[in-house]
Amino acid sequence: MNKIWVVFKKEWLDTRRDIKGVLPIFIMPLLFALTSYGVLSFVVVMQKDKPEFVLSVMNPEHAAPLIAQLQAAGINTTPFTGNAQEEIRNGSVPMVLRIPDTFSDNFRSQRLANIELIWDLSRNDHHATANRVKAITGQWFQTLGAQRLILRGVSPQAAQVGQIFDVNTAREQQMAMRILGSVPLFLVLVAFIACAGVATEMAAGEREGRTLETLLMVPVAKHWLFFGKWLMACSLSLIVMTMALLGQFLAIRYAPTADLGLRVDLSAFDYARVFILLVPLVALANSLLLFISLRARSLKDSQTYTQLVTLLPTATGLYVLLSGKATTLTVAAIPLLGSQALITDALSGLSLHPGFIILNASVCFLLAGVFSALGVSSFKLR
Amino acid sequence: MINVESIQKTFGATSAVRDVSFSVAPGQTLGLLGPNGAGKTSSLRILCGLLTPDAGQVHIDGIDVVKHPVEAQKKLGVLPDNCGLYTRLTAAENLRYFAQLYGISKSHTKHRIDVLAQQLDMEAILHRKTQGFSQGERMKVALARALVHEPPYLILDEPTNGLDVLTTRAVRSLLQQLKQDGICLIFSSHLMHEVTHLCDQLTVITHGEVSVSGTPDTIIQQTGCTDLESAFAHLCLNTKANNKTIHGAAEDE
Repeated sequence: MNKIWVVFKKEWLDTRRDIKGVLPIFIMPLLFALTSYGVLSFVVVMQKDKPEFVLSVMNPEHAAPLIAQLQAAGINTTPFTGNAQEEIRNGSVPMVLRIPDTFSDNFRSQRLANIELIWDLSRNDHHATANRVKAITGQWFQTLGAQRLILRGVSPQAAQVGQIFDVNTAREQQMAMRILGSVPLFLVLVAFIACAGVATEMAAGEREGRTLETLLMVPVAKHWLFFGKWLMACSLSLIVMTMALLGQFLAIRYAPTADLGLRVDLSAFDYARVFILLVPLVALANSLLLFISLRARSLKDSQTYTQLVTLLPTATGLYVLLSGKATTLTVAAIPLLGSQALITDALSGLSLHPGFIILNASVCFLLAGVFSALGVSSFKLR
Repeated sequence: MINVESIQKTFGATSAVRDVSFSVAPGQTLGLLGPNGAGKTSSLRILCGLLTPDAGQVHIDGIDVVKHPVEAQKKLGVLPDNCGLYTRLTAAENLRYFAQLYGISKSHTKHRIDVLAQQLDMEAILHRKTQGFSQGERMKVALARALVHEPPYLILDEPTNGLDVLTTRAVRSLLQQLKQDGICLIFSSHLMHEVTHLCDQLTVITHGEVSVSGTPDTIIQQTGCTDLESAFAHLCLNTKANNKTIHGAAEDE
């Protein structure tokens, strides 16, 4: 055991002096914190500084009451006479409400009087406005329809069997996490790749620097040498991860989430839960990285393979971010995916199933053991 | 006592060591001679427990190196053909790291570093990072590292390779002193005058096999040459010719 400490101390000394290699590791959590803060601030700025929307209307004179209804609801309108499709495509107008020439006749004779909202559905930023215009127009049509039924002595409710309403069960914190969905991805990325460079240097670097031969000649079992290096990588990862959590805490605390009508109230307990969830992942990541670096024939080979490994948390992180599904037993059993899903739940203020945490940690530690065993067997001259 | 019996090692299709045997008693100095690629380094790596032989046995004071490499390695000090120093660590830190891995106490490590620094004239470079060291300086640190735990057996792979005259003389002088102190030396070289001066016994390896073993004088007599260099050249050429004959006969068959 004493030998692990000797290797651990030496690797710390060696890494500490490798300023160029260590600096990016400590910059990473800072960059992630700034990104989280920046994303939230950007969303707020986008909401606040939105230019006033003006709806272009073709033939507004055919549906003056509708135009009045839209303006009463806060949507300014302007008459439009050009080629709607072309101007929307080149971006000079966001959308055009086209009232056909036949509208007045159809309306008066109580036939179906359709109107068109012409817009580019691929533009995400126009969806909310288009939905609002459609909702106001739909409501206007509904009111007129109801009036017509009343005039004929029929209750408007007869034409409406029922309505469906949204009942939001998401907590404010969950809603906030939809915007801050990248935070679990950042944390897992930090846990997984913080020490990629250091692991490469400690393992493939020994081979490249031709110190491996000398190290393998000392009368110390290879597993002690391996665990000394693994412990060093894990300790550095945990320090960087603590910095990352602190960075995210500050970013979330000082980001203007209240301006979005959202509340993120993460306690020290929530951050502690996230830290605990990340520990098994750190163990797994560093075993895998050391194994890969020991298997690699050169430092360059090792760097190539470890870069590929960094894609793993990105892929699983995007899945968690986009799927938005509740964490299941199967998801919890998949190391990276489960960790990210559980961290998302923890940051969303949801209660975590202890069985899921234990399962996820067990699988991570088991895989860490397998990669460590493979790493120890790869600790040799070729 | 070190006993190497009929070791063999193959890397893929290349047979690096075909049949190498030698033994050396405590206090003796054995020189492993051979041209480049003869199998000297591979044989020494097997002796150090770095490579596992495909066949044969290696014992150090009765300890089977293949079965108990860690126990055997305690008895060895090794200077590999490359010095293998950690460049971000100072010379003293390099020595301290290995001393701690050998399990030497802090106070004794300090004493050993002071003694070796004096012996190898490396006090001036002791607290400098080894990055940028000259070949001679690197060699001194690596030699000090091999000796820090006072091993009874010292293995050196071409120790004076690439050194300037003054450093070469300093290293030879230290090896002479170690020999007088009763340390068993095994070193590979292709410098005849070096082995003539230092070695009690010689083993000439060519094409992965032992061509001849014995004292320098015996080898000179056996080959009918006047000096060791001629004897060595004679052995290398003879083996080459024999191999060609064997290969030719095999192809004819």
